[in-house]
Amino acid sequence: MLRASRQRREAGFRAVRPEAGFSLVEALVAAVVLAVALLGSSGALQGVSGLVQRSADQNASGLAIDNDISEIKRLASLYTACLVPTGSIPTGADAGCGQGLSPDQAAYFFPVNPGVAEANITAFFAACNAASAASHITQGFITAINALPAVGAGVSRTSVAREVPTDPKNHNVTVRYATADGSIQRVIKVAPVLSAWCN
Amino acid sequence: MIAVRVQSNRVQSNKVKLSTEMPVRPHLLRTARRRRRQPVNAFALPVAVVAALALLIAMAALGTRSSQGFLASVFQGVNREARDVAESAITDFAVTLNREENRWLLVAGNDQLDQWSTNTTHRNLCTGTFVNSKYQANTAIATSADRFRRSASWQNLISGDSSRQFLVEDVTYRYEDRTAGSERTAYNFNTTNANIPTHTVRNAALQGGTRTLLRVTIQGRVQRSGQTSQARVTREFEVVPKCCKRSFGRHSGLGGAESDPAWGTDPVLECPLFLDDGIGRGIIGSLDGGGPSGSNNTLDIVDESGNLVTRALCWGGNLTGGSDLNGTPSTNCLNGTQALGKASKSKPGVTFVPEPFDLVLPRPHFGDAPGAGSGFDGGWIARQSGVQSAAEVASTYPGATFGNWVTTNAGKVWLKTFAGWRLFETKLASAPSFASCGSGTTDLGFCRSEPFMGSAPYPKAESEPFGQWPTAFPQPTLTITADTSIYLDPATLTMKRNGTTMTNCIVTRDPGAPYAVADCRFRDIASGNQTLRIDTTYAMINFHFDNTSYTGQYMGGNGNTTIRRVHCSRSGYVGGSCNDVVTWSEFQQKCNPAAGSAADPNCTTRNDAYDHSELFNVYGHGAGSFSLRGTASTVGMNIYAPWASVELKGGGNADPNFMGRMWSNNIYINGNSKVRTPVTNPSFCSNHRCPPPAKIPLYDMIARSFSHASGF
Repeated sequence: MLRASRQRREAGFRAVRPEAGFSLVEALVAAVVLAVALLGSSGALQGVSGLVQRSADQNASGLAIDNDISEIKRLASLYTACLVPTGSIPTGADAGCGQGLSPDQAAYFFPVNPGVAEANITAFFAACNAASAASHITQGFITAINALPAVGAGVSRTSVAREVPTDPKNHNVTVRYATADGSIQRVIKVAPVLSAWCN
Repeated sequence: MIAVRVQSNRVQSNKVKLSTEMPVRPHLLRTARRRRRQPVNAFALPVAVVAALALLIAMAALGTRSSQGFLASVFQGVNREARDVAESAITDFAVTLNREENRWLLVAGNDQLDQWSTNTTHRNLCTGTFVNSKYQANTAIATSADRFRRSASWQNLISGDSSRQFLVEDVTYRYEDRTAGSERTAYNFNTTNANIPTHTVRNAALQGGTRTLLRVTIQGRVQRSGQTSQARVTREFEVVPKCCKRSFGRHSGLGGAESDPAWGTDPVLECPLFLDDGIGRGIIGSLDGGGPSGSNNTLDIVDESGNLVTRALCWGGNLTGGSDLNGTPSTNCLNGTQALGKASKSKPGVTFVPEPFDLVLPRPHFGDAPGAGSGFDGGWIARQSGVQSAAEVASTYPGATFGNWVTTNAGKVWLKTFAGWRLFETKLASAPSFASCGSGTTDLGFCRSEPFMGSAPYPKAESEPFGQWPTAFPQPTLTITADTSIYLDPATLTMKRNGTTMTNCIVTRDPGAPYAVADCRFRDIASGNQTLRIDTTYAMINFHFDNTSYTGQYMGGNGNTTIRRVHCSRSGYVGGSCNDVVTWSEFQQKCNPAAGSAADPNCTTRNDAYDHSELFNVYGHGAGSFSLRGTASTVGMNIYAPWASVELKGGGNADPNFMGRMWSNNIYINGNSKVRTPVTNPSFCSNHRCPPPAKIPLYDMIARSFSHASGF
């Protein structure tokens, strides 16, 4: 009786055993499902990673250009005719035009060299209106921009040039930025503050 | 996670079932544990599916987020470009308006924004040129600034590139009103400068005396791959005056009107470009160290070119020792602080510009005025042996002017006419008349009348310089008790006053000239409340007040008197009856047949000395005064009185109140006065010493911006 009962119970338990086999298949399917999901996720992750990288590149190039523009505008304010009548950016002991001046002062921009001021003034006015691009007052400014460090972040200044080189009264300098593939990223126009001191 | 939590609940539920329905035995517990594990295996697939779904959802979310981030960075980049475009356009705005031809647009005023390219008033005079030493302003229309006018149109930043555009949203002209606590105030073309009430904001700037502000707001727009981004940037520039062709310096035409008009370090002392004619010659003051004064009323002073006169000259000292002027220049003149009138919207008053010059005025045509030197002006100057030729006479008397004459021992007489020395065969006691003195006349007696000719003591006028007979020639006080007309009677070539011959006048006619020249000598004219008419139909009339010791009123009278210059047609002329008051238009008639509608019909050849503006002149040789009431009728005369005071009372119905030149020491203008004054020097300046070209310095301006707020 007891044995029969045990047999029945064991038989009953044995009847459940096929469910454990199904569980293995289920596990396999689950594994496959998970594998597919992981594979898909991996692809997506790669895409996401690419986007993130591109965003980073985009931001990096934008920041690099912003930094460069900021530096160019700093040069635009520092560029002066105080020592070199055709324009220069005084540095070292000459910073402040040797007179402790700063670009916040009107006297900073105009020729100040005692004794030869009128000759320098004449040269300065001549540079302001020079028909020759090489002699134009903006030429030193363009040179200074080109001497700045490379922009970096995959971007370069592809062009720093007068907007209209044949028009001496146009002091706009156009700066273009492009990526390695040549696509133009940014374009700005800038003029040295010094231009306002022209005649 | 949620699915797992649900599964866990199920496990707990089974555990409860086991504990309530079955007795606790070890083998059963083992079996139960085995059973309990089975449902867990059965849920592996859903868990995997859920996990996969979660993974995919997470990836999708991450992808979306990354895409959004990427797009955001792209959009941010495009917006940076839009900002770059706006800032670049502002740079372009400043560079373009700072071009020389556009610089006066920097102070045009808010109501002129639509007239940048059409109103020639906004053309920079600095772009003019000198032709034959005469400055000629360039009035060409500048169009390069058109694209920076306030408008709703998008413009390409770079030519041919429509992906980067800008729009000028606003341009505002402002200035700093320091009377209101340095408040930045918008201004129009005619807005009065609160800091310099005699000037509009614009005129003060154009005279180098004030700085204004220009605010510009520009939108930048970038279009890329169907995306559009916009940015708006505003900058304010200071618009600083400077001399034409120079940089910012210490040279302001307003002198001390501003506290410290040093706008920069350009050391040039004088502006290299200046207006050299017109402005300033009609009104010259402070000739003996005096100055202008008057009520703070509107002054409407216009020259014959229709230009508003805002500048006059004051005497800054002699250049040589050969000047009639012998006083000390006014300090206020030298400091540039003399001014007249109160600025209004369109009539900005007058400021006086110091200018050193010599002045030698004509002497009376009857001889030198007492104390006025030894010049040849006027009547008889010499008696010579022999007749000589015209060239020899000219060589002998190089300083002679019209009206001088030289007697010869041959009985012939040389008369200096406008065309040169003319020889008359005789000078007899003929009956002079305007008609008898013609081109064929050989007797000077027909062309010259002197009071009581031939009777003592007046014959001295024929043989002695004026300085030798000051007591003999009448120097009367003319007192009029009724309306009076002073005129040349053409029938007798004498000056008459209501039909009575005036004994204080000498008349000379150049046979080839359209008008005689009448010189009358007075101490003063007391006109009471009467009307005094000066009729120039047949003569240029000169009044000489040459009593240097007299300091009273030369001309003026009481409150109701008027002094009218009249001029009538010679056809049917009746002496003393002319009452046609000369208008400003008639005042500008030229003795030049080529002048067309402005030609004087009496002139057959050109002679500038007889332009209508020259036909009535008053010379004051002392420190007396003129009090002219122009309210009821126009006062039309030229006053040359270096030591005298001239007071003009304007307003009323007369238009204008005064026309002519005022060259005097003190100038008082009261009331809302309308003054019309010639742009040219008087004709006598061709052989006398007169003020040089007025040298009104020319300014333009530049919009500038220091580094900390640089718009460049």
